[in-house]
Amino acid sequence: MILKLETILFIVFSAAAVFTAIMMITRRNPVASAVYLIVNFAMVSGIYLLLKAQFIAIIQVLVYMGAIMVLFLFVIMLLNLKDERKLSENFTYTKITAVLFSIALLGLMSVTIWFGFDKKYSELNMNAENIGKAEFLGKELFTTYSFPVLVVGILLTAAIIGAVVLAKKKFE
Amino acid sequence: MIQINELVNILPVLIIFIGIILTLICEILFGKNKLVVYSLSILSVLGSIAGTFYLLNKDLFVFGELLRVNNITLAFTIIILTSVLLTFIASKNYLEKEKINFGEYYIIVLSSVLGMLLMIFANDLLIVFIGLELMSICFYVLVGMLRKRVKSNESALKYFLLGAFISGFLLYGISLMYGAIGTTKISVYSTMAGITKTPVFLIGLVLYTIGFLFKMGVFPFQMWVPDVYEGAPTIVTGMMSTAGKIAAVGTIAPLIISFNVPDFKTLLAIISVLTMLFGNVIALSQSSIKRILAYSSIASAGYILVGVASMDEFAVKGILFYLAAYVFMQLGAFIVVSVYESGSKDKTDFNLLNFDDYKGLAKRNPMLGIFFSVFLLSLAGIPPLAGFWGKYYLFYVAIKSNLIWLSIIAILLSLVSLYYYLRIIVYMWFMEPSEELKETEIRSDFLSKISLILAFAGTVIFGFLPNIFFSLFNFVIK
Repeated sequence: MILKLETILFIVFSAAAVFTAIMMITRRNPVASAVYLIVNFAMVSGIYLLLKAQFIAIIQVLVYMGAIMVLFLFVIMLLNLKDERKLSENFTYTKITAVLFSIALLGLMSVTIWFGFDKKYSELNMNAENIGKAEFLGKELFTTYSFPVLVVGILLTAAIIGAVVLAKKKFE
Repeated sequence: MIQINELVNILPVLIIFIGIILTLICEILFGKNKLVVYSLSILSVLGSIAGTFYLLNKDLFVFGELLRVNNITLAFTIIILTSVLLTFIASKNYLEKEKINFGEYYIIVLSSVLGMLLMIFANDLLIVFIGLELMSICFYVLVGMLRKRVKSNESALKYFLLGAFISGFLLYGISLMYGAIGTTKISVYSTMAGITKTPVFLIGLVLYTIGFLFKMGVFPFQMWVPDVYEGAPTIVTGMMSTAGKIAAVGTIAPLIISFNVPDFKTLLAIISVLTMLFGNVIALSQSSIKRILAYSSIASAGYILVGVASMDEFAVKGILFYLAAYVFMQLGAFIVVSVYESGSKDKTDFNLLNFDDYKGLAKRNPMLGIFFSVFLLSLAGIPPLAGFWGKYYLFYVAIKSNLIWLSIIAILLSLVSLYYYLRIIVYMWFMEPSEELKETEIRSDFLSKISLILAFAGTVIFGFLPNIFFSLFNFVIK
């Protein structure tokens, strides 16, 4: 069996992404978790590249690996995380039930998605090839989807006003 | 694509948008005089209500099928705007009392209203998501507005974390629906026969529905409701439990009913039974009035689900009638609580929210006593008040679509609710207040009285003339 380079890369990237995700949630040291998360983001952006979504891949690196991770590390630095060990050893029935239900949901969804795609509808995706290109994205955002872009503008304004109210406003 | 001549077709949204911008500017120009911002925000809600009447009996798509305007969406819009109007009128007294009378409050509430209207009008899942996020982010801020109260901070953080988590579910659902069908246009879904037999689409739809069930506070996504409703500023709680809930119902209920999946019917019936059971039974053991009203709002979400589960075209009308009644009684009850409550001496906790504090309230202030009793009796579903007819139409729809067992359980559980509503009334009318309570003054100004009278009038008139109001909704389904 001859494997295409794309397939090999996809397997490598996704295996690494799953591995780092598992490592991230099992580490006791929060800084180690954060570093695994960074690697995870990098692997996911590799998968985006394979799917010809260059723009999203770049955004993933810039925003998630750059901006958001710095925020994470700041929070870790500012918070006192000494009690973390106690939390993870505290296994209750609620947690066991939650884990069982999550596994059931995962199983159900993977089975459905594996067998469930209907060929009849999937031909509607004409733009799937273009979706990651910055040019196509920009064109769509400022023509077809100009209204949502405006609404997102209001959303950001409201969020900024809210942040100012919660953090800056002087209270009596 | 935005075309200028289409703007008039989304007049309610446009007026709220202009309202937000003007309020922002006026807050900067006349920051000291809060009356300008206050009256401007009320005017923009009134203008938006007028705008909905301009659009009646039109069925059209706006901005290249991104938004859809028809009579069902307009009916939900009117109910939401009524709720926000009552909230705004009553806000001033409460905000001044709690010393958080900022112009930003009105801007954020108006932004959340914009989000709700967009959710209702949306014909594209993208707009639904943006609208929901706009509404939620504004709510997170409003909940945490009483920054010095520990409970307010706690509830804001709790609501934010859970809300962000549930947004993930919603977004994943949307992406599965898009992956299965290749479009996010809601109007296209209803034209595709057998779409609900596609498993991936169905899973996406379930995850999408979960996002809205969370916002409605339905079992098993109800755990945030009591804590958040208790910690939020009372007037904000009133708005969240009416307008926010109605926006979620108005987005998801018509969609589910139009799909009419048989499995969904059973599932929603079971969920609604559990919701009513949880809300009504846990409320029995509560001692804080705000928590009781929170649990009763969980129970109300259960009654609404009874209507959704019947999957009948007629059900939308029943849900609309119940929601219209619900706005008046639930918001009215919360306004009474907000008028009566006060901060504790060190301003870090709420005060006057327990059963014992309501002893003899009716003797000290008969008007508040009468209003609160009527709202509570209406919530319990005592004829001839609005709440009775709301439940009547919902259960009637359920019986009509062969869910007799469900309506019997719903009626029995709403009998349970009578106990905790009547207990408050007994405390108010038949108990003597303590000496300490007699000395505290009840601060209610002219404006909050107006909004109480409006809510009272709504509850009573809806109750005595249900036919007239029910036929008002005839324009939705003929």
